[in-house]
Amino acid sequence: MSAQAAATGDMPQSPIPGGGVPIITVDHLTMRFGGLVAIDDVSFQAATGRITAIIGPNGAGKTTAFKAVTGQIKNHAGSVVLQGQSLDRLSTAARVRAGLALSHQIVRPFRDMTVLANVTLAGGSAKTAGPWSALFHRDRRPEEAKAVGILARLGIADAAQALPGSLPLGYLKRLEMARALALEPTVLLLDEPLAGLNHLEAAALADTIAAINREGTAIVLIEHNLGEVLRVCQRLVVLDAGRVIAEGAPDRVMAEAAVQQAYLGRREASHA
Amino acid sequence: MTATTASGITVRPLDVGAMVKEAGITALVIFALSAALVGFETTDIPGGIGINTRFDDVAVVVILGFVGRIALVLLRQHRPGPVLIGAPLMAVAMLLMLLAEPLFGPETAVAIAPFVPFQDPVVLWGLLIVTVIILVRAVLSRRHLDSEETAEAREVRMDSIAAQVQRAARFLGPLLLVLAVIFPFMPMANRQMLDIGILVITYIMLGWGLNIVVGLAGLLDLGYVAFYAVGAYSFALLATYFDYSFWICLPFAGLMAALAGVILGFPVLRLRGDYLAIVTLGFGEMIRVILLNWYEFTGGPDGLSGIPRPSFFGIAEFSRRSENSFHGMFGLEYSSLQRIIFLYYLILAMAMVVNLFTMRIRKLPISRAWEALREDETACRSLGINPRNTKLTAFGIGAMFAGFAGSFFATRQGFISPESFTFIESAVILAIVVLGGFGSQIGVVVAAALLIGLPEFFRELQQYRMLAFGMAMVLIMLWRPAGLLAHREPTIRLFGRGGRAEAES
Amino acid sequence: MQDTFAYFLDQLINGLTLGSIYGLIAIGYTMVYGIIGMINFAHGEIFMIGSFVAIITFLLLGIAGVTWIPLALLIVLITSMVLTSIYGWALERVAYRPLRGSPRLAALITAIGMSIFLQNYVQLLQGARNKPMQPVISGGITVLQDQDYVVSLSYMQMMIIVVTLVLMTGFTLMIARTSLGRAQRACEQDRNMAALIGVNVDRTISLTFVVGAALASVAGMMFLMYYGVIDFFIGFLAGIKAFTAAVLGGIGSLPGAMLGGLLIGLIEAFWSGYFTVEYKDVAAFSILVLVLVFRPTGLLGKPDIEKV
Ligand SMILES: Nc1ncnc2c1ncn2[C@@H]1O[C@H](COP(=O)(O)OP(=O)(O)OP(=O)(O)O)[C@@H](O)[C@H]1O
Ligand SMILES: [Mg+2]
Repeated sequence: MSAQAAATGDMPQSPIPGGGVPIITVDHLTMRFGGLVAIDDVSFQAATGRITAIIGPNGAGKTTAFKAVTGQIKNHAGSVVLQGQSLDRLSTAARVRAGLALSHQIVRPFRDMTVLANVTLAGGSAKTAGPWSALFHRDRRPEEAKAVGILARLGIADAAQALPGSLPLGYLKRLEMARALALEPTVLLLDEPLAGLNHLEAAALADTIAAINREGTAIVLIEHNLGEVLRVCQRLVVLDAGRVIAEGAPDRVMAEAAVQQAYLGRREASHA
Repeated sequence: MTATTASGITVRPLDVGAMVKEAGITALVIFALSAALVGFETTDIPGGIGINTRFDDVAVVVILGFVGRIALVLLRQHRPGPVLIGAPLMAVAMLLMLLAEPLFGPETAVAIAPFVPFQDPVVLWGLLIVTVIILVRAVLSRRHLDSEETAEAREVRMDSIAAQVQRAARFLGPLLLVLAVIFPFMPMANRQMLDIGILVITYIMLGWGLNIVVGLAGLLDLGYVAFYAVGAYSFALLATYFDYSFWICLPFAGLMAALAGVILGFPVLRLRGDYLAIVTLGFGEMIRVILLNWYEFTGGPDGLSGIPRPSFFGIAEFSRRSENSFHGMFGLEYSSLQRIIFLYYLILAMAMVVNLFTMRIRKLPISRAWEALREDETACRSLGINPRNTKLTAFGIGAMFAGFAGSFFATRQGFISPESFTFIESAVILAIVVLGGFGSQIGVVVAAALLIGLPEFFRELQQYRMLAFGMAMVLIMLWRPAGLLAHREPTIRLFGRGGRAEAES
Repeated sequence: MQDTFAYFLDQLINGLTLGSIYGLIAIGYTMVYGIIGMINFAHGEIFMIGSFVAIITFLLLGIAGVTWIPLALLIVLITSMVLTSIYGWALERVAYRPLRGSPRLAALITAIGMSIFLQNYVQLLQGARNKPMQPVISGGITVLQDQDYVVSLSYMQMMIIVVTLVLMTGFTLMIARTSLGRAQRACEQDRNMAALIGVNVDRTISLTFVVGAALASVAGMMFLMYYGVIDFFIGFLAGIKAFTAAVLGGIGSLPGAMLGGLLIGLIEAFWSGYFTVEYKDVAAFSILVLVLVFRPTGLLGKPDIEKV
């Protein structure tokens, strides 16, 4: 149903304009590093069947926001609610089990395991929750089959038995994402998944992301590749210096002067 | 149904089931921990060992665990009410049990004895202290419901306390020194008090010596006692075989210890911190085993005896009958206290030398280099600091002071054996440094007074001394890993503590 | 006599027995180091507690009249493993968990504090004296007779070696095949990342301590039965030697811990047999120092990637 809704843009009673029914709500998140306020009162929502993109210049606080949402760093204020359940007191692993998954900007594979083992581990990680299943869960064929499928879908099946150390960045980025997918999340957080891919690969992966999204996973996407972002996302949030400076439908947001200046202006300058 | 207090803290409705479950699990774990080791006591009987039971003690600790956990849960949920009622009741009950004899006479004491848990009142005293701590926390949490301290805020507060203590140390130090100097002439200074004083100051000196290695240079030395032993044995051998006087042997012994420090330190100082700690522990044990087995030289387990006592700077002896006796020279009555007092001043002077040396060296570039090394060794290399030599200096100096202290130990005791130089001794000195707050001179004094002096006064505590040391080390690390009184001069602080930990990961 | 093959064989048997015990303890050091990068100095005390639980259980079984030895051994083994692993669990929960992410030295000092604490705790509760026990298993087989020098392999030694082999095999399979093993490997490499793929890091670390303590308790039980006497201080030396074994084998490496344990056992036995018994501890310490100075990664260890 959500796939249809996305295609037609027809939104019955949606609380977020053009955004669908929110499944995760991030409210008033604030995170300081010593004196530096990395994110300052940031709120956003994401909805099932929608891709919400977060863009902003380098150092805007995008990655920090993801880390706070997944509980890898402790936010100083704010709350995260996933499907009506507050995540604030949960550990990272518990948040993941509640349905979050994150693919890192900077790849962090387990370097002593093959690509397939990396993904399989993620698929079976729920089995480490209880001491009993941790000790006696041995059959991992279902997880492995699932992992093989995910690798194929992301186009890195050929590297299944390779060790991550020997692979180029483009593969590792997709491994990051494969691991996140193996968790079968309800909300998938992707931090610059297209970085390090050539433009053909990037376009293909963006299509895959859109397809995964249509199957019902809410996606929040951080990405500098604006072309692909605007092609696949339905909703745009712009961060600058830790604050949300604009959000809404992509074309409207991109037209705002503040965005043009804060984001594009500086980006152009840094490229010059 | 959540109520919000005026100060903005949400007090959730109490989930009694969850609370009881949590406390129940605690009680279960305590039961499992105590079932064998507390519940049964192995006793010596002719031809083997027998077994006694102490089920009542198990029951008591399990119940206390349950109640204590409930109290903690209530405090965590900002509901100090029941704790404010329960804890005083318990404290009073314990006090009545403990003080039954002085308060109500021996008959009552005997009558209630079967109901008093634990054979040894010290355990009950310990529990009383824990109860009082919980009570204090309850009272405090009532006072400022609003200020649930974050780790960061607590760190800042502790740091400012430490800074205040350091400022206070500026006049507290001289004051303590004056007290120490006039102490032998105070009325309460009998033989026993002086002996305790000497012991405490010896440990202060050792603590200050180790402080240079651990506190300033950041090298965890678990074998510090080895250099103490080298000093003591060098002194004893020089003094007994060659008949040199104390004042010649002392510098030699210090030199030998420093040499041992440099020789042992040279190959291992490039190791990473925790490996280095274990290696120094190995050295400490090796030296002890050698002392134990090198019979011809060290007397093995029998040790060395007949070590000469120090003279009054080589001009007078502390003996009743002697050509040039101290009391004769100054026209005093002979008293065996005179030598004790002399020893007291001797160790006080030696300790002060260490102290002055440390104060001085803190201002020298080498101290900055140590600090830099503690933070980042790679960066130091690129600044042209030679890590090994810099560390070696600290190691050698620390060892030398241990050697001095060892000489003093030898001459005071007149007898030394390997038994005095076990790992436990290293651990005690380390505990003093840790408790004193890594690098704080006054902290070492306080810690030594607490850890060494207190158990000497209260002999009943002696048994529990090491238990308390271990516990203190753990609690301090949990509470404030940088050391209880650690305070950095505000160099630039970029990140708070949390931020730094994250940046490293 | 020292130059006969029989004498050599005798030392070999002694060394393997001793090495098995060290190996079982060493696994605890190496696993904990692998997963949280700390030297669990109190692990020797866990071993000691295991032996105390074992002796108390033996005594109780004696009183209860359980005389069938295999049953008695099984009961003691299980009791000791269960109660001792709870000590391992509690140790991590109370003392180490709050310090995760703190500097290594803070964790090490805590561990030393716990070690001192546990030693004195047992001393206070059980007394400082030696605790002797009658041999439970006696007898053996003659392996070799060289004139009047008899080399025998006692049933006790056989049991120690066999139990160690069985446990190590089971343990290796567990690490290779179970979810716990995979979660452990993930946590060793990147704890944050492991949490992000849903691995319960806290529980994995807890289980690591539980498994390590269980193995150490078996070592404690066998130490008790082999030497027939224990006291509250046995954890110190045995702990240091087992740690040496772990370092020698390559800390963090499980096969390394087993290999290191055997080597330290053999070195100690041969040193005592051919040189001097008195200096056997010096031999162990020298190896510790030499390995750390010249080859900190040990025999089978991976080059140390500094991790937080
Ligand atoms: N652990 C940390 N400690 C201190 N400062 C940090 C830490 N992590 C991030 N920062 C700072 O917080 C700010 C936001 O960083 P963040 O990584 O979230 O930016 P970003 O939007 O993801 O940038 P990019 O587009 O380059 O990935 C930056 O100024 C960064 O230097
Ligand atoms: Mg980023």
